[in-house]
Amino acid sequence: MPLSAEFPEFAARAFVEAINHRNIDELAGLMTDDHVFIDCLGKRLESREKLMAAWEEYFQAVPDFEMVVDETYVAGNVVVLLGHAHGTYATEGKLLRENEWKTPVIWRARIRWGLVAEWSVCGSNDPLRHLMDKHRA
Amino acid sequence: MAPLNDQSPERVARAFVEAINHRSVEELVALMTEDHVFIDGVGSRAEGREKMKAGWEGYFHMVPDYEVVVNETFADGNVVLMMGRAEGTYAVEGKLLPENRWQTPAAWRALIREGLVAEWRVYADNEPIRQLMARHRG
Repeated sequence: MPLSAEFPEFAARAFVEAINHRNIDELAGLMTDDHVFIDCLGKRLESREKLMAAWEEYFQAVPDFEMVVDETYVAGNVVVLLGHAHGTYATEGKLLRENEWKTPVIWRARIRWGLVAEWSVCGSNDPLRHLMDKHRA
Repeated sequence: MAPLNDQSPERVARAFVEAINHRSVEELVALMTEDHVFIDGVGSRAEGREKMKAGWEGYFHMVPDYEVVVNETFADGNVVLMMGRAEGTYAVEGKLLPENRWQTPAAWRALIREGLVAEWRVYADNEPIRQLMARHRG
């Protein structure tokens, strides 16, 4: 049994590291088959396959995306991480300073057998949304 | 309301949520430290009990049936974290119409000091209410 099965915090932290490595294979290896992602507006996306494609697309939009965790709370199989997300919205493959954004976020992970069964994000997408709107206009 | 010194930080945070759900600015103010800090979803800070009194008054005027629903609570020392959703109706010309109802996942982090809320931080995407506001501002 992996250590992460006994300590849900390890699995959540490994997931954060995989995100910060922008490594889809690492992320997929940490998801359950029936993995669920819930975004800031409560929209659900289900299954590892769908999420691999979604993360790939997201890392293309924000190639330097990073999560910074300041506080961690654990209750049973649930791990809650507080901090912020930041990155640069890529325009024509370029990372320009004026397209950098940052936002406070809470992530909630539900762990099952050392894997992330559910990953939900709670925070404002406004900074990134504004940049996307500006460049679409 | 006197400071809830004999209460756990979680009880104080819950009392703050109840005060929000009563839309009672008096109750809220009584639960704030004088140097109370409010931090919104994008990290903007508002400092001081008086400023926040006006802030909540304005917000309840805009969303008169505003409600916080807490599904999970985590506590560590003087910090209480609550996760759930916020909901309400954006008032247009004083009317609460069903088409102006909104809801968004939210979390709140409360820092408690001597039975009062020293800091109240909100994590939420305000896009649902922002869209309603934009629509009505035309």
